[in-house]
Amino acid sequence: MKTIVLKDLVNNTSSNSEGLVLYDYLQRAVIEKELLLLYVDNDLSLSSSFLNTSIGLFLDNYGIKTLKNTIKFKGSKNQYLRFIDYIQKYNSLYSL
Amino acid sequence: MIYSYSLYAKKYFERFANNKDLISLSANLDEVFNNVFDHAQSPITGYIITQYYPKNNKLSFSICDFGIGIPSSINNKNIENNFPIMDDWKSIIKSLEKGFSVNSTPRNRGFGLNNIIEFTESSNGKLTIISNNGIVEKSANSLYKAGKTEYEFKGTLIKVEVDLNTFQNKNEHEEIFDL
Repeated sequence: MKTIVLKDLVNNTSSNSEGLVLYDYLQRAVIEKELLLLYVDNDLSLSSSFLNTSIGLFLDNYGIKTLKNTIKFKGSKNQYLRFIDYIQKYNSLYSL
Repeated sequence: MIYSYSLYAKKYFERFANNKDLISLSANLDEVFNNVFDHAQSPITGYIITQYYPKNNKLSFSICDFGIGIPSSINNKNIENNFPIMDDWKSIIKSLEKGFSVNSTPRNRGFGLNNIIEFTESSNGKLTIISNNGIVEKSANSLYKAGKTEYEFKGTLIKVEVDLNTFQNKNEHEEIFDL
């Protein structure tokens, strides 16, 4: 399992454009059948724009099952709950 | 860089916050910034002020732009789709619905302003939005108050007031979670 430190991968966790950087990384992991440990520092706030172009786009293209098989989350419980909250909201509105 | 503001604001106000987790503050500042960038078409980026009130441990932030306004943004889309034009205050309330977006950029999903309303609800706060001729106020656990302004304001002013006592405590302990 490979660890990605999110704050080292992107310039910010607020914008659409930086979300795409994470998306590209996740997409590569799927192609290479690699399991990633996504480390989210306690100081990072993840905006919906950032999550739309990273996790939301990934869910559009690969679905929740592939996301679960591609990422494990490392961080505080508060951060994990915020991350999961986005996925749940996304699923409630956009999953088929 | 505007996104630095949210991080510095979080760090600055942590000194008053008694070990509260202020990530949701910086995340919601970013939500409002992104709303301006994506939809406002403002000739200036925007103005922001954040204020802490020690007496009641409340914090507020206000963000203002001089763009086309939420009602015009929504009604332009309504005209494009042959939908009826909405009153300004009704379009502001519409913009707060989860999943509603005029899709100014392809990746808008309608989470941003809904996150703001959830934030004010969960933190016993109050949201005020004035945009063009509409005004909407929403206090936690109360109904919307909305109507037409008696003045013309070209742009959008969003004010969020929250009670820091309701914020979660910081949790530094890290774990590994399955999704």
